[in-house]
Amino acid sequence: MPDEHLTRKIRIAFEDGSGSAIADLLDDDAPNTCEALWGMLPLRLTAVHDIWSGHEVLAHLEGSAVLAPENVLTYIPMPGDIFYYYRPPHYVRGAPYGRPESAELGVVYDRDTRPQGPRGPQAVNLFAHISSGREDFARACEEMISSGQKDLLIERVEER
Amino acid sequence: MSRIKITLGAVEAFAELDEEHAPATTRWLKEALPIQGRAVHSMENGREVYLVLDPSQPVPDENQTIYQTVGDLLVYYKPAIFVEPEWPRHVRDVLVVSFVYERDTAIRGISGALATNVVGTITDGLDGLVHEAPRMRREGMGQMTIGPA
Amino acid sequence: MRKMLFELSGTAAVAELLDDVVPKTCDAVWEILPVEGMSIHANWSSREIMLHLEGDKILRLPPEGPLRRGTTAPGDIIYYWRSPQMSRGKQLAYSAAFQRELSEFAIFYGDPSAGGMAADDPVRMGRDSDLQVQTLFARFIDTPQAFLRACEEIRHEGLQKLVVRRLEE
Repeated sequence: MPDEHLTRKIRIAFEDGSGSAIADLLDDDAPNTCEALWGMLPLRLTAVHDIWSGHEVLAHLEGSAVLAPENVLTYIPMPGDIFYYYRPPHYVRGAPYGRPESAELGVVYDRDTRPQGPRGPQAVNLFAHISSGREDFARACEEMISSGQKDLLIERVEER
Repeated sequence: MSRIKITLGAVEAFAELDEEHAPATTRWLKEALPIQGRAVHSMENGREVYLVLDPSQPVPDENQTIYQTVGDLLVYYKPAIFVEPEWPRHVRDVLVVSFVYERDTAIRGISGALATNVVGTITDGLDGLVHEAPRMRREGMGQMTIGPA
Repeated sequence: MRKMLFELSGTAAVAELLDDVVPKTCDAVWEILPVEGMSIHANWSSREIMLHLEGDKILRLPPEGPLRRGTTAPGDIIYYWRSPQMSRGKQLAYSAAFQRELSEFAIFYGDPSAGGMAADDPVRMGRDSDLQVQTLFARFIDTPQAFLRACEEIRHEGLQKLVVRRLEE
């Protein structure tokens, strides 16, 4: 079972205990993005429900997290896809989520979703995919539409 | 019957029909089975394979989305120009049943995204379709059958 | 203007290079002719067949010419390069060499051209457009019906051999 042992995994969990999931890093497809993200873990972020994309929650990365395009998703993600996206200053009208510039992680928790913003579809780096717990995590994400933002912890799943 | 079999060339797959959310379309589809013909690979939507149908009654809009995803079984009206090399004399849209077998697929019309009826989900055998459809793109399209499981 | 001959399934069509618009791209293409390969039909861009450039024919050219935001007309012949940074899922219809990076002639033979999903590709229209190079470098000036039928047939019958050569006056 060499592939199983070689796949790096992360755990994404809302700190209020409302939901968590395990995701596989797509190291073969997005090695640079995966390596950069792995190096940042553990990450404590504030997750908000996206307002343009459908069933997606996003969390902004603070500080310098500008990564080059890699494994750029052309179109519709699959439920469970996790991506990185960088929006440079003045790229779109206004300041989405109050941020004129942002690097963000997005989690697609259900179908009928396409990462987009004010200018339409976004070219995002697809770097991970939820391998277990998506439905549980999705319920918690959907709550956010009415309950608002949640604290999110992303950490490595270390092999024992 | 909510389970159907899709045969593409030498490969079999199975799908569950969504009778709860697409009752009229699934009822119509079940009555039309078995359906057989030469499969067509989409030229415009990505990883989609379809059969052209000749319905005796119109199919209503049901359980629609413009965000089709892997494993979807779809019924919709496709612009005829994507099927025929030239516009037919009076036909503008052609009824098709199709499946999406890989990422980077979404159904388009002439003017943009096309909402389609999602009538079911492929539950078994998707990996076979993932390999058979591209093989057919290279070697020539073969027969496709949709029938009771 | 220099001309190319496209030979497919016993038919032929003539194209004129846009030497006055994209001279560097035209020079690079002219240098590698003749090129031949098994042409495949598009699945995102409607009435298009593609000829993948392999081995010593691979071209990695910078963008050249007027801005194009994915707008394509029937008869356009485009040099297309896709960065390995792009994802395309499992490219099982293409040979192993083209699972990531892609260098090809994109040959739009009919209507719609570049219609379909290709029209809504965010990378074609945004700041990341350097991830793909799409240079319009030639146009068909003579496309017999038999050639157009042969292009269409590829989508049903599978790969067909295409040869692109210089048409010397």
